[in-house]
Amino acid sequence: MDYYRLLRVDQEASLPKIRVAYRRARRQFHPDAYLSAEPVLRDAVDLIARRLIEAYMVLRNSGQRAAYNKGLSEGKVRYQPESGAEGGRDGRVQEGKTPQGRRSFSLALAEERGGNLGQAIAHLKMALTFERSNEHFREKLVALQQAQKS
Amino acid sequence: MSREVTIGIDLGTSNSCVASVLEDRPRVLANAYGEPTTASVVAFGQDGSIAVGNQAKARVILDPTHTVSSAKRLIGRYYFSEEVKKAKAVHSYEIVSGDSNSVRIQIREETFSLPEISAFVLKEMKSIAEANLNVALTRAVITVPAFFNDNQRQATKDAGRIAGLEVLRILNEPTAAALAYGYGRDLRQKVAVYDLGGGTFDVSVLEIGEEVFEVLATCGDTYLGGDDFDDRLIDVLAELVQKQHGINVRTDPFALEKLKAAAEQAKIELSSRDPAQIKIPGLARIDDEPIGIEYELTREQFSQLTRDLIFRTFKVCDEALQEAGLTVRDLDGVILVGGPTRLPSIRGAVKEYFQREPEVDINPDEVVALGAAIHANSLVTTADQSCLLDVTPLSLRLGIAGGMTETIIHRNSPIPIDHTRIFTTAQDDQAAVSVRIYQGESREADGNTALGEFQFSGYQPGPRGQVQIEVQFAISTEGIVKVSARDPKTGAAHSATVSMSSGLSEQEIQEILAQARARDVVSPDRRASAPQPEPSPAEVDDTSEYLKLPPIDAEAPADAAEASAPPANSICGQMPEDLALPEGAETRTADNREDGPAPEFDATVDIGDLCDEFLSEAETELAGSDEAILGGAEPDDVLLDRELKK
Repeated sequence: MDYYRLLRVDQEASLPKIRVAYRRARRQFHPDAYLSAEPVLRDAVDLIARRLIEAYMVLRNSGQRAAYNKGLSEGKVRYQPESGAEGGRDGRVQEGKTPQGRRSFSLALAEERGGNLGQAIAHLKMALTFERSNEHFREKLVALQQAQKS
Repeated sequence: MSREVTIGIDLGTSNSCVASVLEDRPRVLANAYGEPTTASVVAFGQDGSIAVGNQAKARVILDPTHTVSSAKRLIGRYYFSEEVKKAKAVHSYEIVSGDSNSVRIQIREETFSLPEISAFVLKEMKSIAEANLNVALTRAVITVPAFFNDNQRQATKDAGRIAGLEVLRILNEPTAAALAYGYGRDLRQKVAVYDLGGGTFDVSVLEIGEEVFEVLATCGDTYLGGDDFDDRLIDVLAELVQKQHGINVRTDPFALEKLKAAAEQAKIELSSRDPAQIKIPGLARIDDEPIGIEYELTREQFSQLTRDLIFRTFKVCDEALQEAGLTVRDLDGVILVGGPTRLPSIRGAVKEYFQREPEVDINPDEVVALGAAIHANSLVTTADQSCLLDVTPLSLRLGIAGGMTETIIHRNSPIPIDHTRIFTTAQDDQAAVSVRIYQGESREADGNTALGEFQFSGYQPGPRGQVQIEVQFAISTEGIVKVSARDPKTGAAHSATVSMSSGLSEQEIQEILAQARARDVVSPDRRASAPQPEPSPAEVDDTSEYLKLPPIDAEAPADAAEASAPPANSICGQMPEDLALPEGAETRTADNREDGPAPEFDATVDIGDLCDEFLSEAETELAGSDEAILGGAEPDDVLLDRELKK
């Protein structure tokens, strides 16, 4: 059963539509509601819940959705990631060894994406105060500063 | 039909609260003094008596080395962690290391694990509830900070077991609060829960709608709590003592406790008065002369002292919103949880950050227990109930070469979730493979929390690179990690052993349970007049008549081999009899501490058919017009992997 059928949406469904479908489906197949049911049914619902989550996580990520659609045309109903599961919700990789450093770094990246170089640089400097020896941070700071000059 | 009574327990760092749903309304159950919360303090008397609660807290000043508070800051942690080091500097009771880098509390001749300490508190909350309701209670939902890792969750669950409770669910505190907030109100909102407890800080962003409470993201800081705010003030006062009297108050446990009590008092006073006066006349004695200090604390000053702590909380808020893909403008409300959020400086900062007033009508001390009670009730009744969709707060990582790790499951992934990977052997005829599991966000192994090393054996050895072992990493609805392995061709499960884990083994828990029955907890925080129904072992164990769940086998023999039941919820099915574990091996498997033997899951059953069955029986939202998409129209469309049938 492919993800679209599972969620009861069209292949072209928009993300908001998918979200609504996902929430409805998860409500219907929620393991908590089956605690008193037969073990076989309980396990089945648990499996469905997991599959729903898998479907939703792939379809809400535009890159993964595209790859999935391609695989679907070849008859693959489940998503197979190319490489290791690195990258967050939208493929961002978490850099940094300390929680504070990571936070500041990802805030810097977010500001950079939003075009606020000044803010990005400020966040990156903050990140460096937590991880003075992080070469990746340092390189990124230099890159941002140069971008700001130009 | 009589409804089973269940309770929700907010097991807090400083204070705990218990609630239950009565006549469809969640209510907090007060202790013998009419107080809704009870201090999470355990006092061990010279005579062997054990007191729990507010009376115990009063004993801190008299006997600080034998009075344990803030156990939640230590539960599920490794002895070498920063938090434990900090606790050793701040608390007067003795913190020592146990096996496998675990933490133990030394009280005179005895050592206690943290689950045992917390179990005393849970037992007390259970007793308070029983006194209120006049019925024996066994089933509870216990809350934990959303950012608790697997070790901490398991340890909390162990504490529940030791306290004689069947823990229906370990529930995240912010989620519980959101549930209490939205209960019965039919809301359609996006909310943020700002939960600053005594020892931890969590932010969760949720979307509530159509009785679905969905956590979009959760972030936290388990090293940050109200206690840290106290510590700042204690530092100032300690310095004052040093300056005025030339003594280091931290070397005198009695003086230190007096200072702490005064600091806490002043902080609370600041909420209604500015400035607050601190006066400790008999702080200590020098040359047999009493010495004291006086200090005037203003709100502004306290704000300055704790500015960086408050700042840290908003960095966490930034991160949570970012993970959720929202800005503060997208939110419809902010919910404050935790006593420390009463501080004017915090309320003000929250209002400024979220650009709105936090929700009123929420009691920050009680809302979590109320939510836990609501959830406990929904788990045992079949009435239409709210649906909680939570996420895992930390990424699950796998140790790879060079002291590095790679992500298996991302943080803020909805749960339950699993990920399967095929491993092979590195050497010819290798008899076992091991995987190291971590939780955290760092690429480097030591930037994360180690959950343990899992060793799998019992497969057919062969030339290197040709043996296939399928390992499944699963995170349950409670955020608890299960790792299991099996042969990808036959589906037969491999035996697993866990090492390097700091938690209690099944054997240790059985021993504690056996001892616990002999120990008596004396606490006046109960209504002395009400009859005390002491649940007999049969009541605790035989819950099968209620919900057809397999009974907790509390009387199971401590036999090592027996204790390692097969993984309860893996798709692997029963473990073959001949895969016995080697003699003397540490036999706590990844999840053999679950309830009793596993129900068999027939991997060949067609999910499509099951759903047919279910859909035709149950009331569904699919009126005739909608095609029952999971119906048997195309029997070849099975959800179950073909791989399983290979």
